Amino acid sequence: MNENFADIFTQTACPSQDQLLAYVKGELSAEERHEVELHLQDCDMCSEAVEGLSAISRKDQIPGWLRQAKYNVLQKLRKRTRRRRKTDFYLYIAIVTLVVIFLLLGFYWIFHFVTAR
Amino acid sequence: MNPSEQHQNLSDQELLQRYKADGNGDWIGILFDRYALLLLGLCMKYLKNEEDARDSVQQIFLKVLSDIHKHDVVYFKAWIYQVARNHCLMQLRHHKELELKEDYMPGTAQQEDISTEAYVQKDNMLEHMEQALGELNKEQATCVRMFYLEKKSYQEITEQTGFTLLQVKSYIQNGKRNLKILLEKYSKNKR
Repeated sequence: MNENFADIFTQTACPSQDQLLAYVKGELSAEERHEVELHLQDCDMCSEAVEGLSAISRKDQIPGWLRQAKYNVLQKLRKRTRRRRKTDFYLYIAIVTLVVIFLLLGFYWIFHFVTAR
Repeated sequence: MNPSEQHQNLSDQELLQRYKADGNGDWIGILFDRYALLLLGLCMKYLKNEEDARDSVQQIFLKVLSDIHKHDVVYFKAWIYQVARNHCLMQLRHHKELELKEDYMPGTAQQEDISTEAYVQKDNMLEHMEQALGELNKEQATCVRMFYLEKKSYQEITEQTGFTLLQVKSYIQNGKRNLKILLEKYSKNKR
């Protein structure tokens, strides 16, 4: 039995992003291309992504776009986290203030009750 | 602890758990590096516009991150794939009012789990591979042999056969599907 028969139904791991980008830019050797294509036959996400990436005209700019997108996402994420922390902080202050007010009222009421007797 | 190179090997799920625990965006940065290119390609495939695709990558990631606390994500890749496809389909509907079918579901964690029984079944199937290959039509058999047995790339196959790239991909895919059907039939007959 041909030992390569097993390859037909063997699933491989997703290639790295660098490998995938090199593939669409046509920078891989024939052997490396075949390895990526073996995976593409079984992975719908990678296969659809390669189809889309191949349609991008300025492929050299892709790493720059992704760096910018990452920066934007992380900035927005930090803003969200800061906003959430701020809200949590105000909530904490409000709870502490209420507790202090209730305690003062309690003490006042007890003091008033005791002195009245 | 700051995420660094030593954390690149953490699984998607571990990164998500760490992000949920300490809210450190750097964990998400590692996930972004893993999936941004795939998302860009996917969005480009559906939206056919570079600028829309670039914007969508960010929107999808932010959507995923805001939903992270609502769902218990087991297989991040399948999840983000589904979110990305839905996002693109919504965009297309919104802009072009196209009615697109959503009859397709992405791979799930279960697909990765191949049991011992499946391996035995696979071995039995492979016994009849040569016979099954003989039953494929000429184009499919040629492409499957060249791709899987001779380990040629799509480009080499197109050069040697004269088929277009789309034809080569389609012959391999259909050939593989037909092979599976034939081999399952042989296995059943054997039993």
